Amino acid sequence: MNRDKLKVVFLLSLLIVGFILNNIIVFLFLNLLLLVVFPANERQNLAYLRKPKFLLSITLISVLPLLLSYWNENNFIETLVLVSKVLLRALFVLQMMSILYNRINKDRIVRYFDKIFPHFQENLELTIETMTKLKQNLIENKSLIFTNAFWKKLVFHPKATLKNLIARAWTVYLANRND
Amino acid sequence: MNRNEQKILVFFAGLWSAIEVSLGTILSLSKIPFRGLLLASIGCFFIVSFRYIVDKPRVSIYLASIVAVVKLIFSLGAGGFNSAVAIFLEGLIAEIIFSVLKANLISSSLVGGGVVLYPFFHSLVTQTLIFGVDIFRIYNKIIGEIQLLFGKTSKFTIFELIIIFALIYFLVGCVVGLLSFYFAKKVVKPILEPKTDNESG
Repeated sequence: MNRDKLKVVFLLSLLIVGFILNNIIVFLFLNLLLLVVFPANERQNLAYLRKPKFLLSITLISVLPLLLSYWNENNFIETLVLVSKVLLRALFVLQMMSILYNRINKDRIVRYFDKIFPHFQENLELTIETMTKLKQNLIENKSLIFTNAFWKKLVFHPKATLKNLIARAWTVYLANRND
Repeated sequence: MNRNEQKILVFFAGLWSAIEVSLGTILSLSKIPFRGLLLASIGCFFIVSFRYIVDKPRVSIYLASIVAVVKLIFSLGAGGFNSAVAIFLEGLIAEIIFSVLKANLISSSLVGGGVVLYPFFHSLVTQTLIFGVDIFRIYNKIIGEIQLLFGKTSKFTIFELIIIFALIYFLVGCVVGLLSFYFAKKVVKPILEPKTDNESG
């Protein structure tokens, strides 16, 4: 390889390394910024890093491609960089989403829907009441539902089982209504 | 919406909410695959049944909005917000289809297709938003490496797999929509209607 070609290869390599480093630094900077911009009390409840679900998905996303790449001994570094970039971005976006979620005012949403749909708030309250009663009934009768016989009936006679379930729920619902 | 229709709305919303808050939370935390398909199928049943019994404009979106708000109130963290948005948008999809085609067998089937397909696209959009487009390169790598490991040469890329999965979701949804229409007609309406007729008369 002559000197000019070597220079071009060197320049391109630097460019690629720079691009990768730049991405990582930008995401690290954004995460740091997040810690500075939002007050501690807002950050306290959201630490996504502590959530088992998030930890599990992040472990799968990071470990599996690296393991497979290492297994076949190709593109290990490329995969490592790719996974790091994805995880840093996820960390930033999820923290951001959690902060925004915590700021959502549920009462404002209900008030907004109340303007669009007639008697929304009233129906919402009745729904919560119904839901609680149906859940309570389900807990009281769980011995009937969590049996093999019930699931067999549901699979082989879906129409009759569904009819029975809906009729039962309707009866419970009507019995608990005040009108 | 008259008093009897409101009574049916609250019944459907209460039942759907009870399932979403209990079964939905368990499925969400357990990370079981195809949980979105199962929950969307249940949602589809309630939307189609309610629209079949109360065939009025905006009722599908009304029902979905109530359940979405209940889900928002009774769920913890951003995951609940995600599910609430999904429920609301499923209701919106159903409303659009029912507004154009009215409540019948074909529209119910299309509503099923749309509602069940939605969680698949929702998860694609959420993953792209959270992890960036690079996540598809990682998936592509995983698929390629797995194919290499097992000596397969099918050469399916992630984008081809997305289209195949989307088609499967849509077809399953159409069947769910048809079944929901059938059960709404044969099971739900006969139970709910005699009471409503007596009370309205």
